[in-house]
Amino acid sequence: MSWHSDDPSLRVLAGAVNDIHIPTRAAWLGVRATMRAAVIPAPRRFALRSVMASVSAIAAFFVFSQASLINALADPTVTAGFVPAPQSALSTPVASLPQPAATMTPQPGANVAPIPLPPDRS
Amino acid sequence: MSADRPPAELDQWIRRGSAGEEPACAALFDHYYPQVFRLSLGLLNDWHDAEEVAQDTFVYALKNLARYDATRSAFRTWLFTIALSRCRNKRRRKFFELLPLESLAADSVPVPREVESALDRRGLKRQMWQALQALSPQLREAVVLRYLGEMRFKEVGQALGCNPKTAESRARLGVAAIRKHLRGSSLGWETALSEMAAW
Repeated sequence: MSWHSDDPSLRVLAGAVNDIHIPTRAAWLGVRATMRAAVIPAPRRFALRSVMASVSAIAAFFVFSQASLINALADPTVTAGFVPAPQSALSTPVASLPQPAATMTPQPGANVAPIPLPPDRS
Repeated sequence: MSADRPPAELDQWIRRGSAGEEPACAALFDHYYPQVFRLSLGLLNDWHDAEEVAQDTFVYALKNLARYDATRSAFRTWLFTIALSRCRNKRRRKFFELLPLESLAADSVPVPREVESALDRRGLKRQMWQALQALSPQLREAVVLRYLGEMRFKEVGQALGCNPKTAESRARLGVAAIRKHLRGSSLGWETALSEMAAW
């Protein structure tokens, strides 16, 4: 007499549960992948985690800033006070703008006013 | 093959597996995964949760093979103890999840599709499975380890952290509760037994 034959119902239920097909291949691949990830030495794992965290932070900041800019441009209350620069000023080539004086040093013999001396108190 | 008889190569698998040899780990996995999965399914009644718990059990066990002490318990008991602890954690985390009101009624415990078709193949009614799921966690653990895990009371006691007599008492109380549940159901205990006798 089997040690577990004291209750036929549960014996048969156990038999039914043993009938269930259990896919093991995908499960083993999952376990193996986790095991391999777990055997990466701690410093490397830490470095990998830091890199991942930095990349995530940069990506999050980029997405956030883009979203803010788009929201700002789409908001009429933000863009209402924006006056575009005159087209003529923007389109003037640099070469045609007025040039500064070539030099600021006085030429020899130029008419330079003498600096007044303070009065003699002696 | 009896589930409670360890394979002849078990010691070798454990030794090589704890040295990090992947084929030995794969052999241990292939041999014990279905048993751990069935145990988890019986305790959690959810296919995906059972898969998750069984995989997690093996990740832990294979990483900690060197800590297994053959003098304290059988390898299968050690594995089942790990799985049992994870099932308890999973159940605790799911406690606060929202459940549809119908699922509170004992008669409408959802039965995973795979379990239902396996019961059908054996000519069993889903009430058998529902009766098992309607047990309190403490009794269900004892019944599942004893019948689905095919463990001796000594091993059930080791896995549950109680003495064999307590384990036996819980399993018998569980079986009595299942009988009572089936008597109250439309199926009836006698009908269930006659169906099983026909199998």
